[in-house]
Amino acid sequence: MDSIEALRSTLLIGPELALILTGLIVMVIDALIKGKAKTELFWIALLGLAVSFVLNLERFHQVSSAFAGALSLDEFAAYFNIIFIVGAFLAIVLSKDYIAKMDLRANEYYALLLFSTSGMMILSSAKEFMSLFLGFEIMSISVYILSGFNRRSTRSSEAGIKYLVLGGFASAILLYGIALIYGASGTIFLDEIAKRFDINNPLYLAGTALILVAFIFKIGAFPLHQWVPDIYEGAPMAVTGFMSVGVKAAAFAILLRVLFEGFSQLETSWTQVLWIVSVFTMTIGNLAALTQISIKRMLAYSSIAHAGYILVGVVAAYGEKKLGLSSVLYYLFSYTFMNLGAFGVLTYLSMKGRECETLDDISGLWVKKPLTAVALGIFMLSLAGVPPTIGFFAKYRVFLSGVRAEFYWLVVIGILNSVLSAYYYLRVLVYAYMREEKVEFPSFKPISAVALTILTIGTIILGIFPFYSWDLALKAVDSFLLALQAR
Amino acid sequence: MIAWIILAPLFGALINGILFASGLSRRFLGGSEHEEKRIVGIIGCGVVLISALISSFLFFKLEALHPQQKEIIQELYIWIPSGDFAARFEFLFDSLSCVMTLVVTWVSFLIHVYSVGYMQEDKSYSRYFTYLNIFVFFMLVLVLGNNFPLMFIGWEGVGLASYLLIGFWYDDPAKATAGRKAFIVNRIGDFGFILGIFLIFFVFGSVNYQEVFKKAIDPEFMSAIPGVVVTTIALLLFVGAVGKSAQFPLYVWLPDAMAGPTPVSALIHAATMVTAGVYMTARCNVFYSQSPTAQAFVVSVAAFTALLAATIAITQNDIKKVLAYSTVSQLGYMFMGVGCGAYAAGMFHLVTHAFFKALLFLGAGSVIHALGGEQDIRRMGGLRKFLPITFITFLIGTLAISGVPLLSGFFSKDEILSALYERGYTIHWLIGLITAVLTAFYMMRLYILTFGGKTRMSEEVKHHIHESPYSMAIPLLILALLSLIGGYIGIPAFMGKILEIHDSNLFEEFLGSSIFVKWVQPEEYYLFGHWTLVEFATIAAFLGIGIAIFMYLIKPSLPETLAKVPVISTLYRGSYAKWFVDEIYGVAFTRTFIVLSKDLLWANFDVTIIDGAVNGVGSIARGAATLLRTAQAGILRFYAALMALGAVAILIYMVVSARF
Amino acid sequence: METIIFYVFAATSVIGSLVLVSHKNPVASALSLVLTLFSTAVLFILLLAHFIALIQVLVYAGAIMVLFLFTVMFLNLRDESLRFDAVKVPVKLGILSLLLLISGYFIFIGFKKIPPLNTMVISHPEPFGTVEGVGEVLFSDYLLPFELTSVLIVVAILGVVVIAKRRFD
Repeated sequence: MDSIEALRSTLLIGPELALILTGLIVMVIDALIKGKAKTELFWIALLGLAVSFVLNLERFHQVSSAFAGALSLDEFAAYFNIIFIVGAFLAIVLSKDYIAKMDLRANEYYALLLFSTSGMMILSSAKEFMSLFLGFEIMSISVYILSGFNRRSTRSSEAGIKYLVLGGFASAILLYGIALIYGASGTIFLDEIAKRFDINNPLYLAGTALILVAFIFKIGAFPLHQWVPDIYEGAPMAVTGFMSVGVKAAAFAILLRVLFEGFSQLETSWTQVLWIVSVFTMTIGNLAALTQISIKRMLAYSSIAHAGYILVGVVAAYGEKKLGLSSVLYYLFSYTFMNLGAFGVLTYLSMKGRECETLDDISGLWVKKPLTAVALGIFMLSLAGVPPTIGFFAKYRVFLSGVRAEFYWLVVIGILNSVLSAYYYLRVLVYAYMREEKVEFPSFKPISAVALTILTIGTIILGIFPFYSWDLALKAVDSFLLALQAR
Repeated sequence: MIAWIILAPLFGALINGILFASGLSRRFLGGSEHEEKRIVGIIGCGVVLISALISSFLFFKLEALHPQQKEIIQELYIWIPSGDFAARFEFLFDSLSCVMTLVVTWVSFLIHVYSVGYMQEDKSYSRYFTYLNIFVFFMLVLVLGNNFPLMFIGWEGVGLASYLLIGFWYDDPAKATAGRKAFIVNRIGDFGFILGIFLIFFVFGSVNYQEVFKKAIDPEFMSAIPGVVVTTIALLLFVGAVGKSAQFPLYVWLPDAMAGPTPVSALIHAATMVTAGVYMTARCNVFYSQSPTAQAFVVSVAAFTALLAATIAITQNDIKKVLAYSTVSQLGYMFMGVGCGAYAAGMFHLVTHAFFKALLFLGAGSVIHALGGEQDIRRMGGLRKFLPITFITFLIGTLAISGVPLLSGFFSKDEILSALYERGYTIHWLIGLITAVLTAFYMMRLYILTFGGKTRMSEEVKHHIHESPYSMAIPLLILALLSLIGGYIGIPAFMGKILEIHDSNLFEEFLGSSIFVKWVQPEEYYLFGHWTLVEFATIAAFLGIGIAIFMYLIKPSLPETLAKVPVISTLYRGSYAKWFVDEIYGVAFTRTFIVLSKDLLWANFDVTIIDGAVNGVGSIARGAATLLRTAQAGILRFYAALMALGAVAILIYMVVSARF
Repeated sequence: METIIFYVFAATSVIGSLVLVSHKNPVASALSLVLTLFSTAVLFILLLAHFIALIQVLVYAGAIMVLFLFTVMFLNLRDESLRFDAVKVPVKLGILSLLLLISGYFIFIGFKKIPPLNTMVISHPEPFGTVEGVGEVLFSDYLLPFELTSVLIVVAILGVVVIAKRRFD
């Protein structure tokens, strides 16, 4: 690659660069600002995300590849980037008051969040293993630190360490897989690997399996889901919200890319694996969530369950490529809204020194804060998959693709699980609407309220009018599949 | 545009519901209860008025359209496109739905206005209007939907609204029970309805009206479909109608539904919801017209219902119960009309009935309101000087329903009877005639006992008595007017020719664009000609009125004397006890089910098997949860070990499965 | 010749890592890690990746391990403070060995397809594995990963600051 190519590529990764630069600026500016409030950092971070969003829109018009094929800046990536940026944006807005309440260091918080998002964006476009791994690590390590951010809380520190160690373990497995693949093929580029793929060579098989394992870890699916409840519960509430949507989406993005672009010859095998994984993931997630008193932990298990639902879409892609993949993309999009919303409400209700975690903590919400209770209700209903929320439409698409691809049993199990899940989601509403108030609620905070309003409206409106976002998902998948066929 | 007809009441419901009924407004905006009631009333009535105005505007637009294409379709959006089955939110405004919409919206509007006065003192004022608007919304969805799922949504929705409104004063357990009864009986009918829709989809591959009906009148397509299938569809749909429109044997909920506020009875259980079945039958005329079996069945059930209900109505003493049974009876007439293929006649009666039945109910409400809640007609009488407006309007309603010539009911009832005769349903015609006599009788009886003669009111009631406020009186007047002159839109052809007004039945012509299979009068010899049939109907009316006047006005002691005669007293007691239908149901169905449920299913099946299964699942879940909890002991190395195990498992699986 | 070196140093690296995870004394663990790193460096040389080998020794075994040892000694961790579950260990070791065996099996099968070391014709351009060679590709073909690494390092530094910085309240 010569310098012209390098320059061109640098310009092409404007969205990612914007975030990285903003992160750096936030860190630097912090030293120049006096006082504790530091709202400037907040706005700078948001500005950076806005710039990144706008630049990302370009990618819908023009597909390109950067850095000599290391990144594929296509609509598939662009769609995911929307999820990441919107998620990060809303997460930051929700975090502002939370940071103040919990007395955390704002600058590092925002910077890490921005870096993590940039890592996710790299992941969504990565076409070769090195950038993939680096994006993976940037995203992950930022999130490890964010998990342990609240040093006053032992649970937070514990979450941070656990995440670091287990995540490191997963990264090691990922690297081992990559090494095996490289050893067998001699290249790190996904399309080249696909060409050289040889099913009879166990190195390829083992490598694929190990890489798959690492991704399964990252999406929080069986059998590597054990980290999710502890880390989600221990991490600061605003961080958990961000993690649960962004990291999951990024992990799915790279899972799809690697499996479909690189390892498509093993499709039958990994579809079977994912079938089993999906069934167990959904079931374990839902069963475990049933008995939780802590809403935070319950949402963690619910996250696991939802990963299971999304996997149904991935499995369905075996028979119905377009429909299955689009449903995955769409689900992740809608998941951002509802999950971030749910965690957002809890973040909003957290007070200094005490997070809003258990069912008792939201008892009687309807009386004191009716609008917040309505928002919470909508998010819970969406997670349960009740129409006309976005959650319903997402589940519908996923299960429909499963039916079309003739994975009937999987869909049946999925629907049963979904029904089961209604119990623990609605239980939250019972406490919020029908029980007596147990703890004090914080006062109205306009900025967080704005974010929650956006999320609530989004959850409903996009549920009633899902067309635009669904079409976008279809388009993204189209370009993805087109590129695959062109090879 | 069509969508706004439907959306206006929805918004009204949302605003009233969210802001007022939930109590939010009082918390955030303050304001007195009185102010709030005014706003709620304005919003509630206003949105329905908007719907009515838009409907009227569209009526004119529809009229102007080319006769071959008398329909306006508006597609709102496609919600779930999934292959061939697209849940389309599409609305159809053709002559049939136009008629229904106009009736629904305008009558609703009048009743909303009436309610402002009637419910003024009630503490759940906002909730009332919210529910009322919800009802109108769903009713409009029902009649304006362009496919069966939408009709079904409306169908279910009005059932829900009906339940909410019947049991409006839920503090009284009896009233709440009435609501439940309505809902459950409806459900039985709905089951048939849904099966009908499934069958339609299965046979025609679509649930959209245009697509289904186009196929249904295509002789080539239909030649492949056995007749029994069409009959089944027609009958299944009719089952739904039996439930919703209170025909035998699923009519029992309607009299109980009188537990709700009287305007509700007027709106839902007289003018609109109960007529949904008639509308549905008319809409699906293409099926009925092709299945004489189904038609015969419908007409027979309807005739039986009409007669049965009338025999009960003659002895009831609760003013609302008389009107309720009267409604069941008149619905029977409507079904006789649409059942024999005279769709226009049936619909016409639907329209006129909406006018005078609403009038009668609102009048009854006026009486009840004035008398402080009294509903027993034995304790009424002599109300002429106290409630003059009600006195006159109620009389008009009574005469209209009795079929006194030149009033609206006369034309519509006569249309149906003539149609029955012309199509060869002679026995049913006769039954209809007898019922007409009974109808005139019990209505006049009701009128005389309520308003006429010397008063039998208690002293304290006399103290409180007052005429209704304007908000209640004006709708009465308007409806009375409509009951008087409303018949003229449907003057039958032969009359119109004579009077040189126009040479065809306007209403029938208007509706014709929605009817697919037109009736062609065979060249046969009839025993009775048009005018003769009219004479029969008129005689029936006056006969009934005459007997009633004689028995209750001229010789008021006659009823008591008659009641002592052995045969008559048995009949009387039977009629008064509604022919023990509810009791029979209780023994035959309810108790059987309870015994079955409690002793057999509950004791054995439920406790052991189902509970065992559920508890088993629960304990499995708990066990699983506990097991999972041990897996989630929080120990890092344990997690890592589990992860490693999982990784290896996947590794082995992948490698093995790929190789073999 | 190279085969013997390979097997010897492969063995030492494995032994080193096993000792690392199982030894009670933290200093001994750290030192065995150094052994592992040295052995891996030798393996890198065998693969003609001289530069990497050098960096491995200099940076990893040199700088980083010194830091590790420094911290360990500073914290003065006693043997007892690393509690050890006598019952669970054999089980875990058993599982671990199983893992190793299984993966080894697959790798060996794979390797049967690849010609043995000394017959492999590795056609590398001259500067492969040297500073010049690595540098050339690092700044041209693999520019993106290189730059991303810098971001990663920033993130890591941030993490250190977050975790270690003294609070000012």
